[in-house]
Amino acid sequence: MNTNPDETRLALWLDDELEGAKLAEMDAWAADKPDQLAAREELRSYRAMMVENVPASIEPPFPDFFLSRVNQGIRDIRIAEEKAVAPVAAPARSFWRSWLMPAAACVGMVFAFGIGKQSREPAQKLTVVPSLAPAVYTPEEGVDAEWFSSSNAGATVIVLQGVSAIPDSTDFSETVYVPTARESDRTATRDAGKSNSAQQ
Amino acid sequence: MNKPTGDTSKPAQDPSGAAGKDPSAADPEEDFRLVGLAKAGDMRAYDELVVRHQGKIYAMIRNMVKNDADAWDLSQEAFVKAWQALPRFEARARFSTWLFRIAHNVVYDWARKRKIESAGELNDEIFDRNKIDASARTAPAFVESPDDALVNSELREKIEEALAKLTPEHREAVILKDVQGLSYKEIADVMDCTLGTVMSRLFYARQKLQALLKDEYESR
Repeated sequence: MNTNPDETRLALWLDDELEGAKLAEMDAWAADKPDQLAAREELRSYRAMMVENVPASIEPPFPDFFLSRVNQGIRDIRIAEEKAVAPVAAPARSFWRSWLMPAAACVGMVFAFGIGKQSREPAQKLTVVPSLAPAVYTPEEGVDAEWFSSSNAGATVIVLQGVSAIPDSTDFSETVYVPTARESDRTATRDAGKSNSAQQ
Repeated sequence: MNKPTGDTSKPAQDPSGAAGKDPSAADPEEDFRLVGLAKAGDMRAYDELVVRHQGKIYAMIRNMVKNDADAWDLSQEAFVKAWQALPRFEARARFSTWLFRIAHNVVYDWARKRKIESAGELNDEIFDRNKIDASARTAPAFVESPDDALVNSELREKIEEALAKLTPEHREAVILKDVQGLSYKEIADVMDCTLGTVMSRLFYARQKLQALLKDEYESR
């Protein structure tokens, strides 16, 4: 190479990014330039130091939980996308349907009113069908709960958001119900009942 | 906020190993195969992609935002966004480079949301290790184990301190080039800038790092 290389070519050579003919060309150019060769060696030394001391890959803490959160985020997006799908537009109504439907609705209402007046049975209680999806009940208003489960890890994690900080002075033993020996021993309770009935 | 405790964070590779030793970097063809499966709806394939690349993405973001909890959340966000953008991924670049680009955008969006940005440049005050985002979904607490303390050499700490003194753009250029081993062209793609800008950023960043680590250099 008779002429000096441009800055880009020089930077690529210094960083060992050139290959093949371009590399050979640059090596020939730098052969009688000790300052450039020294600069390349210094850069190599610097890069080696960085690679040795700054890890390129660090496993995130709690990797199973990490993956579970990614999956949850994807599920949330899928649900949001499904909700965002616009409802199919209703087909144009015919002339007959435009007046027949309101009339039929009126007749239905009158019929239902009549039936309702005749029947005196008390209203039945509504039965709430529990959701199949896991639900986490949070008694405190403003607290949201997210539920994660990893079958691989054999773990279930519930993340509560919006819980106020628990003061250090809190004595958790006061919040825990500890059954007495009598309460926890069913036999003792049964025996006590028998003895009471024997006394009577 | 419930905080999981304990430190399970550890280098996913030998600290002395180069970025090229990472299995995901060694086999980009396997990445493309998994991407194809994931595009067809195979969530297990996507899980495998996450597992293969989570270490690099977490390390890169952690070096950028300088706190573990935010890095943990942002890394997840990057993988969720990557899943959303997966149909648009074309195998013109390595999957890892494409992920770095998404991670870059996630970090900069996060910085913008914190509204401490000024005049198009990220203000370094927001990248403060001690300032955990109050809106962080989860903030794992990290306690360094004695083993990790041994691994974290004095030099490593000095390098991390020196990196923290760089501007976010300079720091990112150095991390992508000298830690992750990306080429100039790939860094330009990730940071959405020209090759010249990458070279300029690297030049000034390395100059500053060399000045900050002068003693270490001279002792080598």
